[in-house]
Amino acid sequence: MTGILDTPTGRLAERDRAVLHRAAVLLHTAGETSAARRLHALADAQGNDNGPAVPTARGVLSPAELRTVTAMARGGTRAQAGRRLHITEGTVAKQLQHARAKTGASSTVHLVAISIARGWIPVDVALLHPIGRRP
Amino acid sequence: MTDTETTITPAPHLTAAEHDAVQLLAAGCEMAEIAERLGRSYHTIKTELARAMDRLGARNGTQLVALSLAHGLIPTDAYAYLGRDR
Repeated sequence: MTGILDTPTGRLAERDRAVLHRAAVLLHTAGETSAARRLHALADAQGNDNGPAVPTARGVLSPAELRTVTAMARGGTRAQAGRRLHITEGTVAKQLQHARAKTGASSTVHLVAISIARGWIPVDVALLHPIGRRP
Repeated sequence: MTDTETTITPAPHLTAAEHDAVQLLAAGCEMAEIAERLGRSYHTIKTELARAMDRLGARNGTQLVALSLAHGLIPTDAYAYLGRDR
């Protein structure tokens, strides 16, 4: 049986690595920090031979998708993000769907967490320019 | 000089319970899954996340996670989407 660790190239697909990382986070939360670290390292190591372990935003998301993910990180609704970017809410939803598929994220929240942790979104954007912040 | 005064805001924080819930939220778990994993009720999780959102000034779960990461309240390296040591 072929598992995700037995890919012929020795390199995991982006989506598989995301799954491993997610599993590692769950281990971490369950208190299994050492196992979590090893699993993170395993997922990361798969990227070392053929390229950088951490993909760049440009290599994964389109510029429009990255703009939309960034807008969502600022706390607005999809409709608010759309108005700000001059695109329809439907386009926002479509771009988020594509970005989730590309990163292996299971939700918009997860997508934003991945994007910030990878440095695709500068954190000060989320901090300094929130959309629809409560008074 | 009121117009140059800066407001001292306390450093944002999460309680231990909120931290666990936010971290699972960031990992892509839904509320029901978070409740199940932490052995708490759906309602409790909802309340904890709402309280965390209030404290951090977040409007929704997505912004709560963004702000928690930005403030370093949940470990960014735990997701290891960043390369280690570089």
